[in-house]
Amino acid sequence: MNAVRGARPGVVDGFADACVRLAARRWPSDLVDPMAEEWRAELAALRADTSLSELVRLWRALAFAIGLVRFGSVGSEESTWDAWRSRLARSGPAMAGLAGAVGIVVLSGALFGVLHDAYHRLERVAIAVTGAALETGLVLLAVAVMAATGLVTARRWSRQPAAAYAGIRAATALGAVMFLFLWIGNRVAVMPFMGWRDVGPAVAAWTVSVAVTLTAVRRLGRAGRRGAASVVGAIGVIGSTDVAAAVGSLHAAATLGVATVWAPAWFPLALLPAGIVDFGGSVNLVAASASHAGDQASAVLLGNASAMVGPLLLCAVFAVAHTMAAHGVHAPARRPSPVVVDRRHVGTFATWAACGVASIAAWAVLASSGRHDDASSALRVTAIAVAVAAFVALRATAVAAVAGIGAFAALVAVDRAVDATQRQGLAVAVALVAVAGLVGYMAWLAADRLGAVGARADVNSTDAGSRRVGSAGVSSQIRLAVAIVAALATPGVTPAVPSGRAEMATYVLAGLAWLIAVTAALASREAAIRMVVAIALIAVPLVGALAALRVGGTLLYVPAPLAVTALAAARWDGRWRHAYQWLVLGVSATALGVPLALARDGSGDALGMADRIANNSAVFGFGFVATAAGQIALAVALGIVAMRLQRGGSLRDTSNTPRLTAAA
Amino acid sequence: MAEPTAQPRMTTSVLKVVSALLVDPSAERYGLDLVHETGLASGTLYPILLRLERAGWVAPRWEDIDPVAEGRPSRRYYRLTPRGAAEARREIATLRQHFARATGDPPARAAVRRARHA
Repeated sequence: MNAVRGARPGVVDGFADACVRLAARRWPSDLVDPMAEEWRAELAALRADTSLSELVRLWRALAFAIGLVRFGSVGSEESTWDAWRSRLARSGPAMAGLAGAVGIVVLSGALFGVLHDAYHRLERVAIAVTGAALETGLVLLAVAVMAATGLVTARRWSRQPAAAYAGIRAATALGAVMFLFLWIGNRVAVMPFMGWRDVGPAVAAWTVSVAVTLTAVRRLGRAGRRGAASVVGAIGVIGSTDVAAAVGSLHAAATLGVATVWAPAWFPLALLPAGIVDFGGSVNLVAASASHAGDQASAVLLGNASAMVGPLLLCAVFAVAHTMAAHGVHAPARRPSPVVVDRRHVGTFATWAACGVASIAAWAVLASSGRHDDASSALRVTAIAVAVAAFVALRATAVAAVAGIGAFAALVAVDRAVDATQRQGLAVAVALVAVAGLVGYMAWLAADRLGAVGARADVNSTDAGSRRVGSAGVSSQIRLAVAIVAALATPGVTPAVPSGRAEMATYVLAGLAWLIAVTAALASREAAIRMVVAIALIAVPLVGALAALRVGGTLLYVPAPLAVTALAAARWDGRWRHAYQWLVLGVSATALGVPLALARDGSGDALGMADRIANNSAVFGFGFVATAAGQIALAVALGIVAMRLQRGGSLRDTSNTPRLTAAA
Repeated sequence: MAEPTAQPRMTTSVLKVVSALLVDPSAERYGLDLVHETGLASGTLYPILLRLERAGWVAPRWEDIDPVAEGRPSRRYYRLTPRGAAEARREIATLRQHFARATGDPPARAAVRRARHA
């Protein structure tokens, strides 16, 4: 023990001296030695001060030494942290957006890991805690954390133009974070080829290609070549991900004995379910982990690639989209129609307060019921995701809080009703209607918030800048963000292996929707998303869902598309101004959830949230957006974008009363 | 010593430092002491002291000891120069005047007048 105590000051002194040397090197050359001498004298005096306890002396010495490293420059009293904060602010929305995207991805992954551990630990320890209550608590926790993250990020959002080289810096920062996320964060590897030899080259190749893409998009945008910037952005996102998948799978290919001639096709193949294409023969036990012995080499390689490139794709889309937005790639949208204020309907607070009270009462009555239904919990998550998006967009007012709590309580009550009555068909129908109403109403609120800003700015202001911020900003960028979220959500299909043509068609259609949406998002300009693309965005998942239903309803996982579809349509140029339209939209969109509500895998087990929480592999790859944390993260991201687009760029309270109604 | 440079930009951090030194303008203060008194990080304080020194507001002096006998290196002390003290008071008075305009605080305005006539 004494030896340990005796060693501590030495370690601290060594660390402090290293800090002194590091800090002194940043000073002008003629001051390096005097400053180091001065600081060493201060540290020595501090360490010799017998009036302080040893612990306090150690702490103060460390604080002093670390404080030296936070040196900004002689010309400024800014510390390193302050300087970095300033640089981030100066670098504009591209960097700020990237920081938000990275933060959301990383935090969601970490949050999901914590939930995963907590779920199993609590399940073992607290036998009295039922699965439903436990899951409810964990999801609530995730909602709170992600909502807080969204609010904090939104408050720090910058509207200033992006600085030169922001693209390269952003890509480099993103690459570093992605490496940490994929490799270091992957404590227990979910796939056999997720080591540094796989993740490292993938992230490096991705970083370079994304940096090139961002730089090109920035230059084209500044030169006014919007079309070219959009095309380059779209190609760059797909190409970067493709290169990352190929390079990151080379080690796996060498180990598994797979020829690399088709490496560029590995990424698109990874979007499809396993079994469509087989190559490379069977995996031998030595080459891979025991759990994959006997599998097709192609399945292992493509599954590995899919797990690896999901977060990379997510961040590439965000990076390119924000760079495009920061450099004016999106032209102003057409002038929206005037919106008339009408306050004759029921207030938001009263509606949600009644909903919450009634739901909590129903929950209390049904609290003694038994098994929790996983499928309906996923519907609940859908509504929560929408609620969180509106929560962020509407600011953390009491109204929004009540709305979120009310929605959650209502859905829990429906869950309990399903268990209590055991009449699945009727109960699921009731659940769908309830969720439809909630989704539709939240979409209406969001539409009001987002649409009214643009319309008001357009009607009330003669200033061109205000018109641009009000109309073009909202209409083009919201739809851009929505399309991105929709695109990323759509591939979140279940891992069930397709067994027939209809199922295969579902996968193909889902992949097609994804490609359309990504392309539309990146190429969106004046109209942001053209009507044909909008129809495809909504119709393709619907067709897929129906196809899935025909073959037993085992595949499609659609909560996230539901949420984003509702929100996407909600901001459709402010054309829909009646509440019933949003309710119809919500009902229609939520009808897509039927296959989910009835979803069972090949063994008859439910495909719900509990399974996903228990399976940490869902954190990675496209499964990320099929998780509660992932969906909430996306919803919060959407809310952040909404916040940023508010006039003036700052958080502000909004009226509790929706304003959209018929135009004069 | 080099020729004094232009007057330092008065930021909140600079104000904290000059205020701490103005408590007793004739006293010599060392860096760690000012770190504790101002609450600034050491990496923030020392660049400010350097700028004040270059502006002629602060005069540094190495402690006159025998490092071997004392068992520690010499420390560096900082003290406001007469010019620095006068300039610092004037800057603070100007700032108080701005605050007085904003808050309508008569005592602050009186303090400004006193400083001007001092």
